[in-house]
Amino acid sequence: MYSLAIISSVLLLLMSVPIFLVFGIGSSAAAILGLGLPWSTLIQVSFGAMTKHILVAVPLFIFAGMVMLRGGAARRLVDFATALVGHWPGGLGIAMVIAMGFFAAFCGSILAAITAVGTIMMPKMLEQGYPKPFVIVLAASAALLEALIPPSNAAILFSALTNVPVSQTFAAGVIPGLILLFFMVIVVLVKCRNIRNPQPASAAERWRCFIGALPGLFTPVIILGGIYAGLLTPSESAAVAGVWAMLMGFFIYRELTFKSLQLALRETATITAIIFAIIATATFLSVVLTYSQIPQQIVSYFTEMGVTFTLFWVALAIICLLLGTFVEIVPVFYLTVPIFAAIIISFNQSLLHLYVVFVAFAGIGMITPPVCVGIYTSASVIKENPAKAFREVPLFVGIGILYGILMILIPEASTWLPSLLTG
Amino acid sequence: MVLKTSLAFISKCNGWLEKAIYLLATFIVANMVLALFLSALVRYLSGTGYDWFIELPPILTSWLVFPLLGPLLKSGSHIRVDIINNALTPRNLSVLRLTIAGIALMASIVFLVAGIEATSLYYRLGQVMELEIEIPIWWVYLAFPTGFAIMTIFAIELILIELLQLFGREHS
Repeated sequence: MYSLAIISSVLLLLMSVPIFLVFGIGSSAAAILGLGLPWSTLIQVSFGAMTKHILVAVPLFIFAGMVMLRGGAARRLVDFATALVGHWPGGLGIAMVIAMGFFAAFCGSILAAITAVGTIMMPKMLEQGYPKPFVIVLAASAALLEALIPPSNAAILFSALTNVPVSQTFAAGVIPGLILLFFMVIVVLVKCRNIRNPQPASAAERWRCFIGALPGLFTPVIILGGIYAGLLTPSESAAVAGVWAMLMGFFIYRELTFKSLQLALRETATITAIIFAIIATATFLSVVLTYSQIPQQIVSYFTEMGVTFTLFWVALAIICLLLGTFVEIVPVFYLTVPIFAAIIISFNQSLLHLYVVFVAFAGIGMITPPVCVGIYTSASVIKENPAKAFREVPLFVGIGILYGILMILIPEASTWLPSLLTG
Repeated sequence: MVLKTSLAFISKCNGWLEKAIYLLATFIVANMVLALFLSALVRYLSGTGYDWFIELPPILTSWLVFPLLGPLLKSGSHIRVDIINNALTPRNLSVLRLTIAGIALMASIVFLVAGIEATSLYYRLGQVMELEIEIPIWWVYLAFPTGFAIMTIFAIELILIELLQLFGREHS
């Protein structure tokens, strides 16, 4: 029965059936026909997973990002980053990476980050002679910062799946996020060393840009400060960020209209429904895994075979790279994290380390064809055929793998800050 | 002719339905933001919070997600793996889309029936949520069959669209 469910799921996946239906059909067939479970159990567990309080933060951070995109905050962050480093070799590229890093710190959507920063930066970069394929893949790769730099929706999903406090998962992503940002800056510096803006911004202009971006830069302070000071829950901090974004858009920048606010609400609803539909039906799979004790069997197999921790990381990297190439990051989370987490616990290792390594490798899938939503989005921003950007992908995949290996080798990058914050 | 008339009717109905669903969805998102913001504000100002503010948003999630499944199916917004699409001829692509719509229709009918079964179970049990204001649990579960009922209608519309395209192509 299980083999039939797996084969039919793979077939449906290849046929372009929406992933939430693939999960729903395959897993419910295994649960109902194979395990003899009633529908009410599946639906009850699915609702339990969807209505976890922590997951409410996902739509709220997306909303905050959408409002900042339309309310003028995103543009000012880009201006500030450009004024800071725009005159360096490859300055605009570096500014885009830094702006993505800033924007990631208050936006919960990778696609919103690409749209917000890319819409402003990418045409400017093309004007200055940056190669189009490089610009597209750089924007898509830089958006991966969102998955690490808090508040990140990837961290929230990981916490929801593993019951690690989200404050710890957020903290775990900070140093790896900054290291990734550094890697990206180096790539741009090397690759675009001959392209530079001849006129550096004056001190007065930099100050003006800084003042303009200050309310936006204050957002992460509200979010993370509120959480770590114990004043706000992660969901409340997301709601406060959303209200702060509205206040900025309406009263400080005066660029937000009721029409654009309505659009932000609508887009938030759409993205939320897309993500949560997968969560709802992927939970059917977790029911099957729990009842059939597959994670325990895999763990005991690992133990009996004498599989080392290093070999586990190699297996994780390969699985994440393969799955990430064909499937989006959210389904990969629900498909693999429960099993990986069980193995990590059996090795008596940190789940936070798993989070960072997992995101590093699964995130590479954002830029590997054929399923590379990051590249599709950034290519659509400058109305280019995404296939033309694919030749730049190997460079960034190589960098991503190097980064992932570094994260495996240095667990302290992910565990030091959380342990410092939690005492 | 029958196909065209049916499609025109169902498209019009789905157009209205989609507007109503998005109105509900935007209202729910706005409510989530407001409720959790007020939760933090009230607790900060008065020192005590209201459970109602904190517990309402997760309950609303199901009514935000499930009704949107149908409209998102129609717009092709759901996450999927597009490996073979580029390699297909327009006719074969139409056949593939028809097959996907057919699978979506069958799946939504199965989930609709399952959802009705689960919701009626909770209705009979008469359980309520442990909130300041008591909400019957079946109200929350009702989003599941409602969402898949809506998806059934949208899947039928997609099937009609693809059938007409296929017939049109073969006639031309």
